[in-house]
Amino acid sequence: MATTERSTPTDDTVVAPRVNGAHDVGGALDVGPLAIEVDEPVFHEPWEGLVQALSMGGIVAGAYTVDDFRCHAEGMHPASYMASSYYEQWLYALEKCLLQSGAVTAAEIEERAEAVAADPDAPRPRGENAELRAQMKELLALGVPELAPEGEPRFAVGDEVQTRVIRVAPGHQHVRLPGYTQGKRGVVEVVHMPQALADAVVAGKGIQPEYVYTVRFRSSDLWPGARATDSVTAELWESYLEPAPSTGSDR
Amino acid sequence: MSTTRSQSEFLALRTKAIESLMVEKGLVTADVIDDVVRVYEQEIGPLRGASIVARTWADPEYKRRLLEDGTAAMKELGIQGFAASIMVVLENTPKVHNLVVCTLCSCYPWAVLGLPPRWYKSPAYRGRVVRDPRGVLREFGIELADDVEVRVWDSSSEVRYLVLPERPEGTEDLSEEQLAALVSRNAMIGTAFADRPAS
Repeated sequence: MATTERSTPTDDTVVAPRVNGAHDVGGALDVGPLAIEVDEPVFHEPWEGLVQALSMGGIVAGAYTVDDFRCHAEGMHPASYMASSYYEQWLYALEKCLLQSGAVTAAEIEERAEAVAADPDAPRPRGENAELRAQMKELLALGVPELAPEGEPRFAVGDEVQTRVIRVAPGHQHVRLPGYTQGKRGVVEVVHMPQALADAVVAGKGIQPEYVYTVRFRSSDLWPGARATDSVTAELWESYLEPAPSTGSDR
Repeated sequence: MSTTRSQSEFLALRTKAIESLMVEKGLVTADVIDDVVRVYEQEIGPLRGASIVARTWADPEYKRRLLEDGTAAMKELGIQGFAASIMVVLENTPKVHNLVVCTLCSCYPWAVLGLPPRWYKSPAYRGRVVRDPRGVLREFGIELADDVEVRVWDSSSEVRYLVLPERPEGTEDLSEEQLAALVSRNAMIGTAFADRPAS
């Protein structure tokens, strides 16, 4: 058996986190202390629940996709992203989605914001749409249906793969390949049914379903000094992966 | 981090303005908004996940089906819905500890555990747990032995995970309902063990 090269961490195993936007924090250590709140409420303030419902409502109405929503949240200025609460990030993404879809204009938002500020207790508009309500009920109760398989998966359980390196412009392009996993060797652990390729959806190229794989990475291949027995997995679309180059240890 | 009063007021007003525009444009109605808030505040919470865990502890055959196909076995109990369309269940053992994160955003099995807690959505958890899981677990009061293998699952697609915690000792005589009461949300993320029964 040939020797492996994994025992000594070197500088090139150090990953610079946040490669594709402020959201891409996997591996970042300068992200502050953990704040664990006991028995926290679902929503800390009523507007948070409203943002949650509006964001889901826009998806159900077909104004934008969940991938568009994530893409816009990722485009937030890094300093703002880190200083904002979760639902502030959502509100930002929601506004961007509505603007980009053409559903509302920036002028309309500013005008309405002033009007609401001037009379915050004005009666809340109700609207009427039984179909939207039924669609939301279905989404909440049943979720989204699986996509049908297309062709054969390129990789099988146990295959060694290498992740690609993909850089995007945050807020304009989108990728679901975490920065810390990029350019790394891993092993396929699960083959999942195809899912819409988030990158393509955001680019307006349709859903382009691809098989998705749970890929296991040895922690010591990701982080200097980490234990080789520990591991991290990520679920990665087929086009994020290549067969791993031979290490010379194959027969 | 806490927002100041004025920030909070600004955000509330801004959200109201967006709501009123979305209603006017026919993208959403007050009914839909009320439904979503009610469902997440009152109907869907960690008890759903806890009932699944309790069933696995009580019924080895159900546990086998759940580990084999989480999505199908949860549907048997009538549990499915948004952000739980593809479910994978991860079994903790004395030698393997699983924990779940979404480093890119906050992916989480809403239909099974409800909406995620703040810490799960924070960059502090998302950033650190893939790199220093044992250090993060220590902050939750868990110290893992050196010979325990840690597996961190980064939920980067539409797959959602549920950790199946180990059944605590001294629970042989408990009903499923009593067992479910021992299973916290954190235990199903992997940042806690199941509680021991009060003696």
